[in-house]
Amino acid sequence: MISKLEELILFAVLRGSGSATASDVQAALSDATKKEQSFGSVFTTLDRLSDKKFVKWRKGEPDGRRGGRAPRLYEITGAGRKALDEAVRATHIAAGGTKSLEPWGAPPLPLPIRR
Amino acid sequence: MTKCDSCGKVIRFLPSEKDKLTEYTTHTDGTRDERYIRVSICTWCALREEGRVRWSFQRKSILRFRKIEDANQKPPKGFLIDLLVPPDRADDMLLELQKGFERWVPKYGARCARRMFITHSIGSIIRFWIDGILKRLDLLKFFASGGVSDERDRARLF
Repeated sequence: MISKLEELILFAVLRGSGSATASDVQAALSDATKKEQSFGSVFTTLDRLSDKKFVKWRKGEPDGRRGGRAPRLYEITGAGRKALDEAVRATHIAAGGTKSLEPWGAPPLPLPIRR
Repeated sequence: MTKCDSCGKVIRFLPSEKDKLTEYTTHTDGTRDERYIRVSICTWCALREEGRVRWSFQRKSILRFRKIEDANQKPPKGFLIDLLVPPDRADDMLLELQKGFERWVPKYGARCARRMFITHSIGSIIRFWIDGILKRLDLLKFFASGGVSDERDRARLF
């Protein structure tokens, strides 16, 4: 089970559609919580999620200056997506909902029953 | 009778030639422009704008406003991060903090953004090293428990 901060960060990375930077994540968190979120917690949480293989990162294009620095672009993995699904479902059930919640749109079709 | 432009209340003291507002614009090359504006807002409305414009009383009826030109503010160098964080992590960390600084300048003003940059960079360095220590402690706990990562695994094995 992931923590609330990890859940919010995974949502922000998911919204970034494969090229989310830590700055984008921090901005999204600050918007969501109406409070300036610390960069330190974002960096460490992203590192931990990366260790858990919930997100993966690649180096982006360095900025134009000589010796320019390259940002890390984060992308959510399948395991991250699954963990996020579980977290959302758990929150929904804890709030009194049913198990059939699908956070990513329409509910899935029922599997055929073999007799 | 002079009324406040902002709230419409009557201004108690009559603005004379001396009652004027001085706005300073400081450029990046160190030069400074001064501009005098006639006071047409009351003191309380002026003070309400404190977040955007920094103020101090010079005399009883004269407000001195100081406004820094925010647009040309360069982000701080962040040498602490370069010094205390491994280079592969420092690159990304510094770049992101500088992006954050650019976002904070129009929102909070240059001085506050600079202060936030320093606070966040120190916080990031401390958290980076504390997280490293905690990871090693977790590893120690993992070996101490005989290679079992959590209670559920322990229950399954024993």
